Amino acid sequence: MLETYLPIPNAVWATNAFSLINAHHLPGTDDLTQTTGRFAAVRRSGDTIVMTRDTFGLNKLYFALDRRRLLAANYLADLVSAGACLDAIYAVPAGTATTVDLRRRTIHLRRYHHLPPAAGAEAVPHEQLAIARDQLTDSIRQVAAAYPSATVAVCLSGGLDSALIAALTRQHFADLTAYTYTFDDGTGQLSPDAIAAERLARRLGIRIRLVRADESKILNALPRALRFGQDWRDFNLHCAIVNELLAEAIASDIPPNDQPVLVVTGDLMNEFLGDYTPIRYRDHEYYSLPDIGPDLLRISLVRGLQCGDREVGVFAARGLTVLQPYANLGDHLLRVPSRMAKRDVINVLAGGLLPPQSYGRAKARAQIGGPTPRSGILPLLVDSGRHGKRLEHEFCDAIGLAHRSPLRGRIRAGTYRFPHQFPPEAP
Amino acid sequence: VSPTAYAQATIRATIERLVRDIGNIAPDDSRFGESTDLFDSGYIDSLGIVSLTARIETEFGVTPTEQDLFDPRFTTIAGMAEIIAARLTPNRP
Repeated sequence: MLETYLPIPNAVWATNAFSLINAHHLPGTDDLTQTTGRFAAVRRSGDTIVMTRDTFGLNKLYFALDRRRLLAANYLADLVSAGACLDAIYAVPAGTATTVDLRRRTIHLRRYHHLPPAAGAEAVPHEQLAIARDQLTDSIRQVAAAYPSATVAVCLSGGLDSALIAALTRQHFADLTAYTYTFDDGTGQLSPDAIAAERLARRLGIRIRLVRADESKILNALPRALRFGQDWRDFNLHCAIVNELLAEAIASDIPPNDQPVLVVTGDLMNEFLGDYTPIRYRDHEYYSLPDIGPDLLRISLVRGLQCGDREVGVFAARGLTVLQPYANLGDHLLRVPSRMAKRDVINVLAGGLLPPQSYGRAKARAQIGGPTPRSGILPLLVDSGRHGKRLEHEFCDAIGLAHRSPLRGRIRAGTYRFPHQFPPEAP
Repeated sequence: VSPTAYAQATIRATIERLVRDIGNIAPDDSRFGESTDLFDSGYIDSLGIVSLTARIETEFGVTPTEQDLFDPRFTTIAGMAEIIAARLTPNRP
């Protein structure tokens, strides 16, 4: 009646403590509004199944109803492998609990977290940022208190978001390695981001490991990035490739032991602050954004987080536990006015932790950039024909579908399919 | 004309205006209408639906829910108007 495939542990902060817990469990509180982090939990009582998902949908929770069973999984590929047809697969929306009563044939959605209608509600955000700064520091301190002996890696891109996370993590974990991706174009040159990351790591006293990837290594990473990153769309896929390369390096460096391997990242800040721009390459626009104002765009980007698995899914598939501390500040960061520059936000959050030159660099993106503007993952994939429909087809192959299915319309306005009523074909 | 029908006609006209604007649809496009499937026909793509839902929220103060987005009616202008009209109408005892 219920089959679950939930290999990804829940990583939650509740009642002033951090814990990694089994995916079937929620933290020791019934008040989910007081719980941050990422989780996907499934509980059954008789004919009733309750599926719950974190505020921003960072842990994925797909489900399928077929003639005999409800199947729930972190990975789409597991549902496909268990025999679910793609058209019978849905996702529990972020910030909700979905109750399915198999006997009464009802499906009910209860939302416990609401995104605001628009970002930037706070004209003077000092109080929000002060709360956010304390919360960020507490989040990392609580991880160190719960897992003092954990092996810890930090993904350091060279940008501000990961720089702050690295600096804070360094304060609580003495033994820390930074992992930085760099595109290897055969010249031996490092990307500007990698150079900045090396410089910062030295300054913070963190060991750094450069992860170089050439064309063949990047193309070899594509099937896993599709399968475990669970998205065929260019932006999330390109991020997932970088993360797959980093995850492979971290997993190969650290021998298995009885402590979790924690990978701390600066992901999500770009969504909360709307720090994205489309990229033109060969007369085509990639990473396109909807034509709406910045306050609405930020909400739209955050809503869309529930549909890609570029970090949690990719790292978990290598046995690594990713932590995204900015997730805990989301509601506060969304109140910051859109006109406030990111470097000013980070400056307040960092409170002097980062060297002044960190704030002066122009933004670059690891998934695009190599040493030159025409090298990197975006140009490489586009030039090898891997964009648009081809990526949809390769995605279908990667998750094990016997037949390639059209994916258009599966994600609408940042939300994966959800049944508007109990599916008629279900038990 | 009942008040409900009048309200729906007004909502349909507003949604049509939004869709035409977002999808950049020519006034004389004969394929386009209130019953056209906006997704299958390609008038609205994944970015367009984000813009459309955002502008529906602004125009009507109604946020389409997850269930609304995947309601089969949400694929056409007429269907969207039905959903929004229902959300705008207070429940009667």
